[in-house]
Amino acid sequence: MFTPKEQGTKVLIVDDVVSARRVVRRLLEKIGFKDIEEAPNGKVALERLQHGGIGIVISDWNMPDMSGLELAKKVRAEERMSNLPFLMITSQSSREEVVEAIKSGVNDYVVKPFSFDTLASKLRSAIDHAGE
Amino acid sequence: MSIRIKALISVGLTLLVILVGLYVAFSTILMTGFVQLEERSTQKDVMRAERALNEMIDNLAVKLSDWAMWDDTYEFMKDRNPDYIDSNLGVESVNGLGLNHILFVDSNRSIIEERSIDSDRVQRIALESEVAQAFSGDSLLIQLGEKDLEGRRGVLLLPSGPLLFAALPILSSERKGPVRGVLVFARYVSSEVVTRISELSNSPVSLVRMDQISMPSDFKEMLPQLSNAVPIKTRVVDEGTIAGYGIYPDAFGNPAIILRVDFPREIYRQGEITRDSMLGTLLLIGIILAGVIALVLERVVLRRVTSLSKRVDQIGQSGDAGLRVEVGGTDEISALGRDVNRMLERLDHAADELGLARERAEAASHAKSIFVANMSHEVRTPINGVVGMTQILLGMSLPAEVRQYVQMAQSSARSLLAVVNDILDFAKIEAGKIQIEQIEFSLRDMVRSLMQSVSLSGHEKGLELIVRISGELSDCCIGDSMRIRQVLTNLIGNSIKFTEKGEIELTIGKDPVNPAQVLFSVRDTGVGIPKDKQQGVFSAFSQADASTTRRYGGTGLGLTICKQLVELMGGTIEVRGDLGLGSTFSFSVDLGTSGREQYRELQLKAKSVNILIIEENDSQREAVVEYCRDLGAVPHAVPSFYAARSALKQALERGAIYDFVIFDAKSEFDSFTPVLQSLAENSEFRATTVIAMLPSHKLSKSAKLRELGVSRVLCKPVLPQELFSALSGEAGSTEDSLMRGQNRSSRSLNILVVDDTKINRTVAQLMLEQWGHKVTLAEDGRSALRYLTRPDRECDLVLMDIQMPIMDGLETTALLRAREEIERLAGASTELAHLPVIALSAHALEGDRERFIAAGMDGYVPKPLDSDELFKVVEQAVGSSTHFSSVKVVLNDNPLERLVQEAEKRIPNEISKSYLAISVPRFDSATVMARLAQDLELAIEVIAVFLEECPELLAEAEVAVRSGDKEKMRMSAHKLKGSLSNAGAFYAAELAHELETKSRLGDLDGIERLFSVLKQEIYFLTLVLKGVVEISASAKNFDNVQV
Repeated sequence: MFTPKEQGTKVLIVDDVVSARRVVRRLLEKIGFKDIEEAPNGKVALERLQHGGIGIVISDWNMPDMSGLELAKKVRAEERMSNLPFLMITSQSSREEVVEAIKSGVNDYVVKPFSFDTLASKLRSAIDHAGE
Repeated sequence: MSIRIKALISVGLTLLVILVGLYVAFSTILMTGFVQLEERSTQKDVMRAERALNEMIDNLAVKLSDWAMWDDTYEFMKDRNPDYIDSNLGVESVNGLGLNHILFVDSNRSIIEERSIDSDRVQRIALESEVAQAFSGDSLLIQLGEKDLEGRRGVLLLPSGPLLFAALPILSSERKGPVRGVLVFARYVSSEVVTRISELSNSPVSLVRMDQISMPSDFKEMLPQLSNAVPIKTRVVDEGTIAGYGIYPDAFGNPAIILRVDFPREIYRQGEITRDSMLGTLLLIGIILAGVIALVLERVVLRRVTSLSKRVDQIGQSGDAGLRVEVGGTDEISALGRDVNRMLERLDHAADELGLARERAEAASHAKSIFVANMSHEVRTPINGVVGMTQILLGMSLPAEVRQYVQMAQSSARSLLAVVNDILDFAKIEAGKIQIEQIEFSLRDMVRSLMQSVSLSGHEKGLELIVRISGELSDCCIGDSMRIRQVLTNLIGNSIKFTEKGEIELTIGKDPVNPAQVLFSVRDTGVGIPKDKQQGVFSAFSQADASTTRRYGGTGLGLTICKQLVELMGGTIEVRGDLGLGSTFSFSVDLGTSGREQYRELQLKAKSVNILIIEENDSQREAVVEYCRDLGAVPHAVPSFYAARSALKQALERGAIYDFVIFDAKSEFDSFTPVLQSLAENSEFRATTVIAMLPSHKLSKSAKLRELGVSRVLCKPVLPQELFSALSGEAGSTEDSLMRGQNRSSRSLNILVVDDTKINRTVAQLMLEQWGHKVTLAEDGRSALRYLTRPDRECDLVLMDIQMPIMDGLETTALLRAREEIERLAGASTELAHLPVIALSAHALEGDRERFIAAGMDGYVPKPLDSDELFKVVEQAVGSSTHFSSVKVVLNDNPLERLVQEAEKRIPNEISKSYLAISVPRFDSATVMARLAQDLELAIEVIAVFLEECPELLAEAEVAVRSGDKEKMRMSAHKLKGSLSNAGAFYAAELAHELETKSRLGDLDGIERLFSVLKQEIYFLTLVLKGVVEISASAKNFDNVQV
């Protein structure tokens, strides 16, 4: 499903809940991703992104201080990260919020609780979208 | 007109008025002065000219004196020496003196010597006789003595022209006499003289003789105005010239010459120039002033007013009372601005208050509508029980009377339901939310069902109920039968309520005024309504008299709803009658007729069926007679049993036997037994069928009647269909052959019925079981969900109530669908695709159906359950999904679940009781496994991480709850929720979610209790999950050892 090259991409998981990060990390490892980094909030994530090298961002929506949506907006505002695949995990799924997320440049979103297959397929589509 | 233009116009007008005023003032005062000045100046000029003339004459006199008082002349007069003449009086000399005449007059007054010169030709001419006459003889001019040193001088008018002269006595040089004569010098007023005068007076002067016939016109004009009193007169010749006229007298004092002196009008012009320049200056000042005023007005007032007005306009258009106008300075406009701001502030405040009030009102209205919905639910639930139960009874094989009772019970229950609906309806109509349907319906069925529900109460009061449906009316109508029925129920109900004795007649026919409409009237013989109160009865909450409410009860809403409904259906409702005369309410509505005519014309097969009708009540009798005619029978009606007996006797005599006898069995048996007896005894009447008409409350008499030979019983009010059935030998109206419940479903299904109300569950169960289905019951959403997720469940269809405690139908269905999705993704079961869920709801509010479908439901059956409708829906479900019966939940052999169960066993006994007290699924291992791709190791890891972070998250939440900080509470609850759902602890996650929602909404009621429940739940969870991790670890070790 994912090429070895894609699996070599560096992924940044942003979530304030440890177990949530762990679940995503394990699922990603199952898919075949090896290089996975974590950030407990949007600020750390932005700092990490400035260093470069991150190929995909998977972020939770609801976080203190900086929400996933704000993070997505900040990332998209940077020229060199405007095409970075960005996947949002949300516990809400109202139409308005999804529209807002897509507008702010998120490639795709996953509604919690999600399954392994869902995450994999959403990841796939996020990579494909960003590649376009 | 803007202030700017108004100001400019008023300044301009003021300026104009001032200028005109000044102009007039100048012209009248100043210019008059100037004219007077000019006149005076001209008069002076004329006088100057006169003086010049005088001067000339004086010159003449001066010259003359040299000659007249000269010794030579004195000697000449004595000796007449010609030398004197020769040396002094040469032509050249005389001419050189400027004289025309020199006359020497002696003491005898005779001219002794003279010289007359034509000055033009410079030659001597003869002395004119007029001149000689003037200075000789008796002429006064020459009567001069020694003392007359002044002599005579002046002007003489002679035919040859005005003559200037001077005459002096001739004396010695020492001016001594005796006088030797008179010397006269004279000259004509020639052009030279005129020029000279002009020169002397500095103005052009012209002279005209008084007696000149061809006088210039201006002189002629002026002449009459001149006199000795007014010797000088002026006249304006033209713009530049003014002329002065004066009279110059001759030597005798008679007017002789008119002098005219032309005078340039410099003074007048100066006046004009002064006036014009003054006005010009004023104009300039005015314009500058106007400009300054306009500028100041513009700067100080207009620009600010304009900007203020623009701003106010802007604010008005934006409708945002939060905006303000800019204010600077301390003048009136600034004050206005501040006032506007103050007003806006108040407006803003008012708008805020209004908004708040509106929000409150909306909230109250919302709460009210929820309350109404809830109340109607509460009220409807028991009614639904009655309706459902009676429906089940009707589905069984019942004796006719029992069936009638049950039908009545059901009809009444339905009417009661209608009352509840009325209240909802009224609210809906008031809100304009009611919709009139256009559905095909049977008019006569509607009437039958209507009468079934209302007749009992009428009959019990001893009232006669009559229904007359015109045979012309087609049966299959299109319209809103429920609404028409509602109106009729109301009207008939009212009539029953207000009628103590007599009858109530429902008439249905074509509207005579508008045949396209159907006219319904309900006539009663009740108390009636006074004419002046008839219009008021349709207003809400009113009855004809306030006391009637006390006496008869009722909400007072009925007629209002009727009126509104009828109007919604395009008709009108009206009331007739008067106090004591009963009332007739009638309304007509548009009822379309369906293209396909289902109503079969009721016609008896047999020809000329003779029917004897015995009915005391005129209206009822007529109605039955009419129906019989419509059916093609020959009715013969009598009003009493006495009359009936004679009718029967006559029939016997004629040999015309009645095929049917229909009689009113309402009265005591004694009254009609003689007739029945005579029918039974007489063999001629053996073929006669006896039919009794009974009011609905006396149907119990029918058994007794049968003993007396009555074959059939008709329930009043008699309706055409029932009469036809009775006459055509079909089962009577009271013996409904149609047995419901004979329905059997094509396939037997396993159906789960979820409802919190026992009676509703039972109704549904009985109906479904009648059709051969297997029914499982659940009291609420949670237990239903638990059943549905059991591995051994057998279920093809769910009937789900919407409003339930703990977990309502919508939520249950949504969770079911979510689980189905997870299982599908996990590949747990390929068979379980979609379990059909049908909503059962008494909610009849708009938009509910959409809500149900959105929650994942497949259909909707309204409560009270109508067995036909339910049957249809269930059969549809059977037909559409053939694989239902084989659907089973096949859960994977779930290793995590095994671990959980193992761990649960380890829970100490003292807590296990409270652990098990919660009936909901605490931990959803299947979902966790599905999400983690069936990776047990990963699941254990996630659980371990959860156990690690959970105490911290819980502590965080606890601090937030204690502090009451809503935002912190929300955040920590959210985190906790995420963590819990990752670990598969869905119940606890749900509690955390509730906590999050409550803190988001700021609803802190009972939040501590909620948190303590959550804490307790997490305690249990961690207990079990720690067990799971431990067991799995030891198992791993064990595996390792084994390896």
